[in-house]
Amino acid sequence: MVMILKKSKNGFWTLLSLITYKKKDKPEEFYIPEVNEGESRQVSQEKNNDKSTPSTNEKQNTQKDNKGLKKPIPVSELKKEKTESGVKKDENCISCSIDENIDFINRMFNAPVNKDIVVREFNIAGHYKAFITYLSGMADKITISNFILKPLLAKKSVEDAEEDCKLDYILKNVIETHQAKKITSPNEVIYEILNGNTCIYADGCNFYISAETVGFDKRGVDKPQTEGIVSGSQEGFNETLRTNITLVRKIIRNNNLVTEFLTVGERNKNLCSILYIKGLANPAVVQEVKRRINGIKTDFMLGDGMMEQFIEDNTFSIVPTILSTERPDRTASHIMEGRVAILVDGAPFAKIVPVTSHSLFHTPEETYLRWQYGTFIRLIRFLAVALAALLPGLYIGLVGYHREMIPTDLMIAIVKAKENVPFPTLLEILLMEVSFELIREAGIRIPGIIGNTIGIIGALILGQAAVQANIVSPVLIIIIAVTGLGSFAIPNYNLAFGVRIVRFLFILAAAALGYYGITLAFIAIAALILSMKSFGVPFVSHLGPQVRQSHDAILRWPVWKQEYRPDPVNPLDVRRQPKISRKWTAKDPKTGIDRERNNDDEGR
Amino acid sequence: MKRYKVFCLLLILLCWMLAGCSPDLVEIDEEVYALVLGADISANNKIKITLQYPSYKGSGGGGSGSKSSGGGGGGSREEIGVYEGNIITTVEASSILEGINLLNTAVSRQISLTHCKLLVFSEELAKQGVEDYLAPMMRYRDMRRIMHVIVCKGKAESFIKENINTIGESESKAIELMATQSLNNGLFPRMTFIDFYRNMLSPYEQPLTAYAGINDFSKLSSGDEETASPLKIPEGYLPSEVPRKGAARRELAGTAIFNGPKMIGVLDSFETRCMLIIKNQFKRGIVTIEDRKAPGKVIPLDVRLGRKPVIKGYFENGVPIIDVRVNIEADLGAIQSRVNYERLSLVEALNGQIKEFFEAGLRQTIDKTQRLNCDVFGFGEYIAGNFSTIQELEAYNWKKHYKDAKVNVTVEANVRRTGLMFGSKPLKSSQ
Repeated sequence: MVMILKKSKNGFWTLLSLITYKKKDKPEEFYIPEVNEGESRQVSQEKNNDKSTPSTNEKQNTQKDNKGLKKPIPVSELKKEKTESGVKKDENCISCSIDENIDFINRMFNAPVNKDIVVREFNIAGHYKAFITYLSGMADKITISNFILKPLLAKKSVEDAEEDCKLDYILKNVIETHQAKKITSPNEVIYEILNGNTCIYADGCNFYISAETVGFDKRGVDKPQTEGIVSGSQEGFNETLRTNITLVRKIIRNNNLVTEFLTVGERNKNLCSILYIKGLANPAVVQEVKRRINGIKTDFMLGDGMMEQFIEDNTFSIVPTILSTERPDRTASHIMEGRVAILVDGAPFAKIVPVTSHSLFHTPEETYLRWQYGTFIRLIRFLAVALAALLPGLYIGLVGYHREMIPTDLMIAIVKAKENVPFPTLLEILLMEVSFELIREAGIRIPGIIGNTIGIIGALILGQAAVQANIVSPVLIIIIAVTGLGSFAIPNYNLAFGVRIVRFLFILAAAALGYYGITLAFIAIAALILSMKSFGVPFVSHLGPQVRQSHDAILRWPVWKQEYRPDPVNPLDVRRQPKISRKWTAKDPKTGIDRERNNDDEGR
Repeated sequence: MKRYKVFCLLLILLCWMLAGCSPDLVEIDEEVYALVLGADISANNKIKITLQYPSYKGSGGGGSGSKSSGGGGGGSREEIGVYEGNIITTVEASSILEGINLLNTAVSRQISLTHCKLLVFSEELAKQGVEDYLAPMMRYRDMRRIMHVIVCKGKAESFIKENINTIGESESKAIELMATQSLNNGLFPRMTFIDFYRNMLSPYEQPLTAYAGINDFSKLSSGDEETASPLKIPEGYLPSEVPRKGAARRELAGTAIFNGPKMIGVLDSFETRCMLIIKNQFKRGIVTIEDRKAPGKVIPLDVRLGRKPVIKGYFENGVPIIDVRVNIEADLGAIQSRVNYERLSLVEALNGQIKEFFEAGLRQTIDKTQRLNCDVFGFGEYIAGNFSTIQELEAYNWKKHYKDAKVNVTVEANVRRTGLMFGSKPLKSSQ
């Protein structure tokens, strides 16, 4: 203290500064500026620069105008400016100069800031200037070096050529990759590079050659994660579109299986393919699918889940109207019924349209099984949906309104169990339902090693503890457990979600009005589902107006009885098989031994 | 289309709103569920109502808990009506429903009759007529219509007090299974509340209930009496007369028969069986007949109906005639005398004996009801076909004319199965 007083000229102020609060000089925090704000920032910076080095009056004037009007520049104009400076100049044709082309590639891929784009310049056969370009990581380097660079650099390869442009000759004679084609549009060049292909350019030509060199790391064909079955194929889709199409094509060996490619997403240009059998699928359906996909205007398309939301009929419906599957065999069987499959690059799922409600209850399991077992497990699934949606609601209605329906002994047992529980039944149910949903969600999100145990922890410990702590009655645990089992038995993941949500509606309806409320809620939901369509097909057309039976809707009939394809899809070929599909039953087995006559002979 | 959808949704929402947001929901543990309802006559034209309901203590199923009642000392607990996990309360009021309300001055939970299993009328009340008590109960929403109705000797209150469950923990199960025993022995009928009431209204059938009582275990012979007295069959018992000891004191045996709302007589357990045979409600029962080839020895028979009794009703010279043809099948239960009744020559004789036995029993039962002029068999249903309109039938009043009817009974009896043995050899001993 004394030191400070002695040292400072104005001791009082120093002293004061020690005991008063001083605001710290904080550096400005980072924040993301608005688009226009950024503009004005730049403007002001430029202004400062201008002040220091005054160059042109025009610029200043425009800046002043901008400031005076404070007019935000519309996004479309911004875009225009960019494109004007970028592609527009050579939008339709490719320059004949190698320097301009290198410049074009660098500009389009933001090189050298962007490190992924590789532009390799060299001289073809030591004479002609050329370059190849590809995206590092997306293209297979061994293919490039062995089958593109090596032949091109070989001295004698191009010397004999007499054509004007060496690339034509190269395309025909030198490039050793399987696929290679001429590309004349700059946009296409970019697209090819983005896909992992290698583009080759030689000085003096007005086109590129694109050679197929796609080679990136991908997951192998694995077991399906969400649609496991016991008997039957264990192959599932993976994230690569090509592989997925192959998996389907492997099952349907038919030359009429058509794969059409469409591009969706303006910025990420995701590849999407439509699979159908020409001459079987109704052309109207194919047309409609293409119309809807082409009609999507969005900048980012990530897989099939997003695609579904963009093309489905009822976006507010609680049940899905598009079937999602990760099984090639299921996709194939739907294609064979005259439906259209949509596969999107980057997601291991196929979307199938149009579908009716019963398809959501099917799995390939019953196709592989004998019909008796198939029918049985299907009935179990219908029961599962009913339980998962209704059971808690029914319980509430039963104990809250319709107690005369409970067997007396059970009722007294319920009362005794509930004797020390302080909450109303509704709260008990909601409590347990919510914790069950928590367990479920946590079980999916939790890291793999402890993921398996969460089920045990959740079900056993939480349930047991809740009962012991008199928070819920034990009967309720059974209700919730059975409900949970029911929702797990629903084969379609999306449908299961719908059922889980609807369950809460039924709980509230039952709490408000008992079974009458459940009936009302059921009518409301049924009315909504009945009014829905999936790509022009009424969603429950199998129950609705009488249609030709495919014998594979709700019950599964013997496979020889399934003579027709599903009626609502209106396939071009209605019959799946003739009336007598097991021709052998109508004929004698020709074993070469006439057993009857032999017997007769012995008798004689 | 969209407007149409919205309209439909609004309609459904409206259903909700119009039903009112009143909290109709009653928590299951806010009520207590009476299992037995008893009615006795009391002074000043009042009625004494006795209720039995579970105490919700103990861990088992319905109405349990010997553990719960222990500890506090049996005597004092019984004063407040706690018996083995059940509580029995009695109240006096001018109507049953008000009485239940009045009970809630002391019972902490709303008493609900939705799970009532048993309705007990005292004989005294039944003889005065039950119409004053039944009609309002029929109207009451809470009342369970499939509960069983019985009439008990003595007071309903004391009957309910003796309604102590000896097997298992669940009182409601005990009551239900007790009534079901009618299917195994036919010694008393099953009568539900709704059927009882309907028969009171019916123009061609009289109501009946099971007849109950309390057994003081005094009928059991001590064993000191003369043993050489001749065998006495058939045996018909009335409640509180069954020679037995142990188990619950309350017992059901025989039938109380009503003329309209008033009880006018009883059938003993054997007559009850005969009545149930004609009504096609006799499932099975063991009947003992004397062995004619070996007097003093008996043959127990497992008897059932071979087919539905064929009943025809018609008029002859203004006299109603009822033809009843009963087909009875019997299985040999045992043959004490070891006579081979399985042989074709002997089985015919046995068939004849069974036929006579039942013909006499049916005759006796029908005569008794005709003396009381009480058609508990529902013969009127077959007579009704002779009238072209229901008004004519009602004007004729079958219930009044039953005593004039001529009832012809024919029985066909067949021994169908011989049990696990076919023929029995004489037993060998050293003598």
